[in-house]
Amino acid sequence: MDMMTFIQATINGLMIGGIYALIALGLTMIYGVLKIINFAHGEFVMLGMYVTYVAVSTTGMSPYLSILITIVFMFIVGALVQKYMINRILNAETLNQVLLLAGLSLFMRNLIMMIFSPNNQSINFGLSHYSYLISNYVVNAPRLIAFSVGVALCLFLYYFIKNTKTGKMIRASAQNRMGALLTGIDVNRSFIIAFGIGVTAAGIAGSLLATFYYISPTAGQPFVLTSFVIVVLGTMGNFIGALIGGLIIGLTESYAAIILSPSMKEVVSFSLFILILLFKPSGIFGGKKNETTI
Amino acid sequence: MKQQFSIDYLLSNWNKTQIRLLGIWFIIMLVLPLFIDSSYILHIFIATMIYIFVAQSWNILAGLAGQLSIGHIMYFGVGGYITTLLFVNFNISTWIGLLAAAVGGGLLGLFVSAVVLRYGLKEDYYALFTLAMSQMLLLIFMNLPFAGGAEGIYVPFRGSNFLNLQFESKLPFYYIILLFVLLLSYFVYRLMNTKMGLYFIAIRENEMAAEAIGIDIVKYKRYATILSGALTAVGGGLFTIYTAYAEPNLVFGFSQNFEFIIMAVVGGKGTIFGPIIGTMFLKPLNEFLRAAYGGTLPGLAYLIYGGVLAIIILFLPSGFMGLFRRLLNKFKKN
Repeated sequence: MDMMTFIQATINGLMIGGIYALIALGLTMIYGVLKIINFAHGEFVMLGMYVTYVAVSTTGMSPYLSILITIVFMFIVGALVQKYMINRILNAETLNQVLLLAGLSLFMRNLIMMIFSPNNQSINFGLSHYSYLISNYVVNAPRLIAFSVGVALCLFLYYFIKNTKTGKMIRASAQNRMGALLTGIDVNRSFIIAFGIGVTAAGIAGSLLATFYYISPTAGQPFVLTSFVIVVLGTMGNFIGALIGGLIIGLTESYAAIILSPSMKEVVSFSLFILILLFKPSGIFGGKKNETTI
Repeated sequence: MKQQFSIDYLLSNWNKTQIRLLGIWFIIMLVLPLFIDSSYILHIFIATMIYIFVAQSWNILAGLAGQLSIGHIMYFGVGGYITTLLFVNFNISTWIGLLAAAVGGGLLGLFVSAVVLRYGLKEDYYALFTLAMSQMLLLIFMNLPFAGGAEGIYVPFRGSNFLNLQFESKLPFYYIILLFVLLLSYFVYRLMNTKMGLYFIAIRENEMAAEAIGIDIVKYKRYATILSGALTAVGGGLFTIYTAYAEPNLVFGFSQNFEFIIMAVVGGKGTIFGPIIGTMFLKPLNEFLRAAYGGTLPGLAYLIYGGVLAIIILFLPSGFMGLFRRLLNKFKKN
C-alpha cells in the first residue's frame, strides 16, 4: 500500500466515519438516557432516507433542505414511539425490550417495502457526482458535506446536552429518575425529548446518506451493528466517544477494505467489537467502572 | 378422575396441563395428513414443525435459564452447514450428520459460554455478543470457498432413503419431524422437573439468590448453553436437509433469527407448549400471506410479524400461554 492509497483511504474512512458518528450518537443518547438498546435504529436511518427521497422526488427541492422536514418528521415519530411503546416497557425485562424494538424494526422495514417496493432508489441532484480534486486526492462533494454536517451536529448535541436547561433535565432524568422527579423535572417529557433526539439524529444521518448511498427498505440494516460497535467502543452513553468511535470504525473499515478485501471490512469491525466486549466492555472512555450514564 | 379435569387441578399442575395440550396437539397432527392431499400444505406444516423445534431449543436457554441469546441463529447455521457439508461432500448419512451438528452446536455453546462467563458479560452485553457472533459467522461462511461462499450449497437428491432423510413424498419427513418435536417438548417437560431444570429456573428468576443458595451458576449456565446450542444445531441440520439448500444469509440471517425468537415469545417463553402454539399460529399465517400477497404486497407477511410481536410484548408479555392461564383463572373465580 503506497502513501497515496493510504491517504485516499484515510479520507474515505473519515468521510463515512462522520456519518457513523451521527448514527451512533443517536443510539448512545437513547442508551444513555433510557438504558435501552435501540434495535430499530437502522430503520430510523432508513426512514430518514425515504423522507428525503420523497421530498426531493416530489418537489425537486435540495436534499439538504429536506433535512428540515426530516427533523420535524423524525422527532414526531420518535416522540410517539417513546410515549406509546418504550415508556410502557422501561421496567420490563431486557429481553422484552429488545424484542419490542426488533418487532418495531421489522414493522417499519416492511411497511416501507410495501409502500415503496423493495427496489433500490436513488436521488439525483446537482452535486450528486461532483468531486473536488485536492492535490490528486478525490473528495466526493456529497460525502464531504455529509461528514461536515455529521460532525457539526455531534458537537452541537454535545453542547446541547451539557449546557442547555433541557439537556440538563435529560441528564438528571437519566442519572437518577427519582431524584429528578423530586426536584420537579418532568421525567417522561425528558425521555420523550431524548428518544426524539436520538431518532432524529439517525434520521438526519439517513437524509445525508441518501445524497450518495442507495435508498432501499433494508439500507438501514448494515448500520445497526456498526453503530453498536461504535457505541460500545466509545462507551455507551458517551457523546464524544460516539464521535471518536465513529471515526475510528470508519477508518478501520476503510483500511481493511484495501488491505484485505472490501468484503472483509465488516469481519474486521466485528472482530474488533468482540474483542472490545471481552476485554473492555466499558469502552475507551469507560474508566474502571461500567459507567454508562451520560 | 373428574377432579383431574377441574380448573383448579389444571392451574396448580400447570406443566401437566401443558403436557396434555401437547398430547392433544400430537394426536391432531398425527391424523392431520389423512385429510390433506396437497403437498404444499404438508410442506407448510413441516416448515412449521422445524421452526417449533428451533423455537423450543431457544426456549431452553432463554425461556428456562433466562439468558439473552439474541443471536441464537449462530447454532442453527452451524448445525445446518455441518449436516449439509458432511452429506454433500462425504456422503455421510444425515442421521450421523445431525449428531455431528449437535456436537458442533454444543461445542459452539461451550465456547460462547466459556468466553461470556470468563469475561462476565451480562444482559445487554451478552445479547450484543451473541448477535456479533452470529453476524461474524455469517461473514465467515460467506467467505469460505468449501462452503459454497455467498451462493451457498445445494443438497443433491440421492433417492428415497431413510438413512439420508430424503424422500420422494413429504409424508415420511412430516412424521419424523413430528416425532422430533414431540420428543423435544417431552424432554423440556422432564427437564423442568429435574434438579438441573429447576436450577435453570432459579438462575432466571434471581441469579444472585441462586448463587447465594449454593447453585453453581457458571456451571449451569454453561450446561444450558451447550444443551440449547446442540439442539438448535440439530434443528438447523433438519432445515437444510429438508429445504436442500444452505446459504449464509438464510441460515445466519437477521430476520430468520428473530423469527424463531418471536414464535417462542408470542406463544409464551419459559413454557412447554408456548413455542408450539406460537409457531402454529404464526408460521402458517406467514406462509399464507407470502403465497397470497407476496407478489402484490411484498413485506406484508413480516409487517404482521413485527406488529404481532410488538402488540404481544406490550399487552401480553407472557404470550398466549399467559393469556390462557389468565382465562382459566377468570373461569375459576366465576
